[in-house]
Amino acid sequence: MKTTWSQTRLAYKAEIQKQRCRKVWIVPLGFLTVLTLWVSVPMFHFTAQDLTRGYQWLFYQISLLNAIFVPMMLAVTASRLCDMEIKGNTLKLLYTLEKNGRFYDIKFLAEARYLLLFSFGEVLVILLLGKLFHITEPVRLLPFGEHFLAVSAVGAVLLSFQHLLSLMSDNQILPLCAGLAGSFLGLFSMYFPRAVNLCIVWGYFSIFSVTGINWGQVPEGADYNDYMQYLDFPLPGFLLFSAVGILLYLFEKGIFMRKEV
Amino acid sequence: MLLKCIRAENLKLRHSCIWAACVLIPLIPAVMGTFNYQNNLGVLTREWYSLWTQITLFYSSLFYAPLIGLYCSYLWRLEHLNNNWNVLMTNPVPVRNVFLAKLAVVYWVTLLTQLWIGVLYFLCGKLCGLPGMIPGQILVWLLRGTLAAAAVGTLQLLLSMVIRSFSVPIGISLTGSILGFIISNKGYSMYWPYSVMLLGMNANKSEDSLRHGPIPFLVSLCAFFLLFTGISIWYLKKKDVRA
Repeated sequence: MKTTWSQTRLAYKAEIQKQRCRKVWIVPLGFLTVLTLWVSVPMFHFTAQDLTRGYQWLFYQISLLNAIFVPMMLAVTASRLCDMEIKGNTLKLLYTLEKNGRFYDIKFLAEARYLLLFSFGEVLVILLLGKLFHITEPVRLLPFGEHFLAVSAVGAVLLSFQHLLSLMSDNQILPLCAGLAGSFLGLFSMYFPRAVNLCIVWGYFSIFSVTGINWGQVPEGADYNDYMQYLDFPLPGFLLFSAVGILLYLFEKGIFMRKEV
Repeated sequence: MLLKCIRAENLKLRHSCIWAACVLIPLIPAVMGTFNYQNNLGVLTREWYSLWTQITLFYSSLFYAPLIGLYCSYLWRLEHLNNNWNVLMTNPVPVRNVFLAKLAVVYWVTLLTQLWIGVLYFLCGKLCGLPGMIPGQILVWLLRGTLAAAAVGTLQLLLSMVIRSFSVPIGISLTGSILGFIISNKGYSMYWPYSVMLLGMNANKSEDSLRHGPIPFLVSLCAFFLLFTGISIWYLKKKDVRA
């Protein structure tokens, strides 16, 4: 009799087997490359003064760009991995081999590793650009860890949503449109008042950004970069967000488990 | 023969949710752009032109190419499913007609999208209280943007034909657009298909970026169109199907 753990491990192995030669890693890598290009172009014109707050600037810019890039990247990743089951009409067969709940979890885990790859890649990109452009600001490890946590957690919540949509839709237009719309809703939410911003899950990349600008202090015509600073990580808010994210995931899983195949 | 192929491709779009994307997605940049315009009335003083900069900033830079990518992916997805490649390639029609018919349909949907964004632009302008009608020059920019879809449309059709995934070509179109934004800012718009589109739409600019004449733009557009169409037809002729 196989234990639950060994069954889960086998199911995960099977999921990884399905991804062989599909080159899914190109998706996060491609997005990471564009992100790197985007942030590195202005860095060629950095002055000595700019280099003294280089990491803060990078964290700020990348958090903004994540609102555009990550939802779309997750939509593409989830759609690519879930579509193989939809196209192949494999769910009926799969359910004779494993429980539908486990299938849902394992598939999610298989997608989440690309998200982790992306989050980790971002941290490496920030460090690498810091070395390449000779940023003089001292490296503080805590913001790097917080940034990794924030991107992974917000990304995981978005991924759970895309995961459900991709598995539920026979036509992948819907999840892709949701990803596209989410990208811009996240960007747009930054213009909204704080209370509204908190209701938009795609906008949480900027809410959990490790650096920020106190716009109230920036005088007319001044360089806003001079007013950039590290922010205290909102740990209670982050824990609450993670808890809601887990509940959301369980709710979504419940929806999927009721799906008739 | 080509007309029959176009009719067949059109049939495939009946009752598809692509129309929902065509109508709903342009609403987002229109609302975002108008909101941005209303919040910056102190700086944005050129009325219709300023509103254009705000709507096209979001639409052309981030939405237009992924939308075209979505249309192309949808059209090819139908062939990637259920061994339809075999049926498609055994049809008694030249493969160039198959490709050109798909291109015509993508272009038709894109034209409707552009018309819709034009209507939204007009409505948003009126909601903001802008006087008079849309300036004729902006209609030319809209038309130029529609023409520019030929470059991206052929490229996206090629990508969606070669890549069997529905989502990857759309992801490529988004990254292409964002790279296009950078390339456009560096002044090399003619050499990147996604930037040609920005140039055509005169995105985020109230002065015409093609005031010295449209010839380089048209040459670049034709070059990309011929290149990607040529590669696509060659690919369809030479490569064996993977059904």
